[in-house]
Amino acid sequence: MAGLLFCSCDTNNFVEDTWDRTPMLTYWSDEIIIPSWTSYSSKTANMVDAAEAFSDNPTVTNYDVFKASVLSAYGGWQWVSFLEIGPGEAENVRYRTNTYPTDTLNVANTALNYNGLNVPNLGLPSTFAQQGFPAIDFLLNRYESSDSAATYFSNNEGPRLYIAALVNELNNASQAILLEWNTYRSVFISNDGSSASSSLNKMANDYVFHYEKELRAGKIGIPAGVFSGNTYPGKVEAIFSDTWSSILFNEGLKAHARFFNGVSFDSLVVGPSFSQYLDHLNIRRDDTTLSFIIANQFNIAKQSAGTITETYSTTVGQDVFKMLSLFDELQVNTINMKTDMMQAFNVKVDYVDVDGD
Amino acid sequence: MKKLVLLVAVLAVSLTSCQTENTDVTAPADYTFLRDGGNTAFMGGQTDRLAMGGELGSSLKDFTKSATDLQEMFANEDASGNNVDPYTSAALNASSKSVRSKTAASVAYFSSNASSSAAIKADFDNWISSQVSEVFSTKDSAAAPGKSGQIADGSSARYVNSMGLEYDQVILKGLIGAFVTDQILNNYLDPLTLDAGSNVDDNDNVLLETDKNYTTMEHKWDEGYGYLFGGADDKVNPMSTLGTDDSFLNKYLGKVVADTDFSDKGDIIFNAFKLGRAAIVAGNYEVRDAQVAIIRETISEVIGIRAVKYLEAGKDALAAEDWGGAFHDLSEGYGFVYSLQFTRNPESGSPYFSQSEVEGFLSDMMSDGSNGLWDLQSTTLSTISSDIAARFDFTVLQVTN
Repeated sequence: MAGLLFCSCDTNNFVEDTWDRTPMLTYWSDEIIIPSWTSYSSKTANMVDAAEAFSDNPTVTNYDVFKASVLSAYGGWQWVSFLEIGPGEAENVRYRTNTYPTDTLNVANTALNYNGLNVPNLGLPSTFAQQGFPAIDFLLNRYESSDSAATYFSNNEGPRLYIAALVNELNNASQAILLEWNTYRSVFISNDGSSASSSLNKMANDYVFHYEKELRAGKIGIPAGVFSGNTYPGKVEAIFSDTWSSILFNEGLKAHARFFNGVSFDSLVVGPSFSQYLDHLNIRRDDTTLSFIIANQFNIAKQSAGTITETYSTTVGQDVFKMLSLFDELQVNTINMKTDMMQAFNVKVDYVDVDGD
Repeated sequence: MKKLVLLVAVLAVSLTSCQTENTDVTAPADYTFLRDGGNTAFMGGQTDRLAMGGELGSSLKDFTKSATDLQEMFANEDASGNNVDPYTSAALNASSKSVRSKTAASVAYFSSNASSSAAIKADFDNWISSQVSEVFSTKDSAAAPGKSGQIADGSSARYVNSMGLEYDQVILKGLIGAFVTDQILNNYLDPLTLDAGSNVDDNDNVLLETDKNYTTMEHKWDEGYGYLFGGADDKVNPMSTLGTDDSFLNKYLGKVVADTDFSDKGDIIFNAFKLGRAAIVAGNYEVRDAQVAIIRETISEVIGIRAVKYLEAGKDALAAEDWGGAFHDLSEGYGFVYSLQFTRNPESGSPYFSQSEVEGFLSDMMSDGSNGLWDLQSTTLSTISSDIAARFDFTVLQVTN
């Protein structure tokens, strides 16, 4: 019956917005945000241990263990990259952790000349492209084999120490942010109004911004040449590794989909979410709920990503239309969320940038 | 504004019916003005100065430059007035033109106000030297309240003084008023220039400048046009590249017309330049002066719109504690507010905001606390924005929506 009643409407069914934001903010904090940062922090701590073991003893085995710990942490990062709100934002953590392409010339020079003491000031914005996972990827992954990597690092103490220093920086940041959440949690939950600076408005903006700019554009659209007409295989995330680019994208896509659907970090519960909020408002397109349309589109994008079997840089070079199809599927949800969802929540998109220069 | 358009329309209609007097004027399709088959519209000096300003703009962020280097790019001469070659472009080095000599240098506002002109030039000189002494010197440290250095604006690093101000933005946006707008509205399009000496008689009698294909009045008009469109490759049809042809007024007029509330501003200005130039050829000074009024009003409005735009964007960014983003917007806003004193209200003949009003706004922006923009309150910005909008024919909401 309801379907019949609403089938002629587009999206606006005049349901009053009585959605209580507090339980959602509480659920997000306790079941998604803090667990995600906790998990990421333990991965960065593991990465530090593995880096130290490798730095002390650069064997092939230690190299492989270290490399696996970096991939694990880089994957874990995809789950918190859009949860920068509050402490992460204050630390510029996204820019410090994952600005790519990295400044290879600078990173190589700093690493070769590193003596354990002459650490650059990596807190400065001008060094964003000289640190984080992309710099580590460059230092760690540009060897033909684990053997040749272990040999190189055995003979070059500077790069060995510097990669450990970069790993430490990441871990320091993640531990600091996690600690900050002890106090920021109550700030986040109590900021339950509907102003531009309220937690929901900021979270919705952060989420949609990240989906559009990082997941859709940064990982796929820019390398595939969507915005410039020229393909840029060199701008793929984790360009120096063989297989990481698709792993990282798929982690990111999954993290976004699960946050939208309100799946807890441990996958054990489903709680208040963008999806439920849309249903509360009874937002439909024709006779289908917008929440279903968006969730379904996430699945379609996932299937599209699954058709890409080569590394993203190879795919951009040889079969760019696969990347472009994936981009198109991602773009569908950009519009669903940035336009329809934000409008339904009455949240103004805050990142229509004034200026490029 | 509406009245003026109407007046022009009426003139155009009434004039077409009395062609015997040879005074009917219509705007040509583009800015092509020929005499005996040869071009009559030249604006090379303006093109050069805009390019010099462009090189200065990028060099203000080049840490290898000294204050002397930058000052020489501004003035195209050394402190003793000797020739220098400060630009990367050989053509610009060969030119004797200068941005500084055309800063606060219009005949209408500054010919009998040398002290004010000198004070404004000194503002730019000081900002340029401070960029090196305060900002370049601390480029490798983080900015903080009361401390110059770099600060993140998204993935970019912005370089600010101890008050959060980016001098390079203040200089470039300030030059849009003090240099470009002042030259167009208050110098080349002013009757003091257009009608100087025997210009009117010469124009009526088509007495050309020596070895040139234009009358003096025609050329003055074209030089005014050149400060807005002289950076375009196609100076005859510059509208398709509007916004990309320089770092000054052309760029920001491009941004203004991208807002649907103001999408007609570019065509209004371009048409007025064309019609005014055609009126000069026809010797119809009434139509010419009506176009001057349109250009003065519209370009002034463009400065006001961008000032409000950046102040409001800065306000939003401050609320989000996005300091780097806020300081960048506010520094651009500071420069556009500075530029308001060079606008020209066609009815009063004065700037829309006097020098002292502008100084008041700028002082308000920097004095909510002891650390300038770090302490700036949103109410201060709202007040300035609405004061600016109120004097023009637009609202703050039209700018921000």
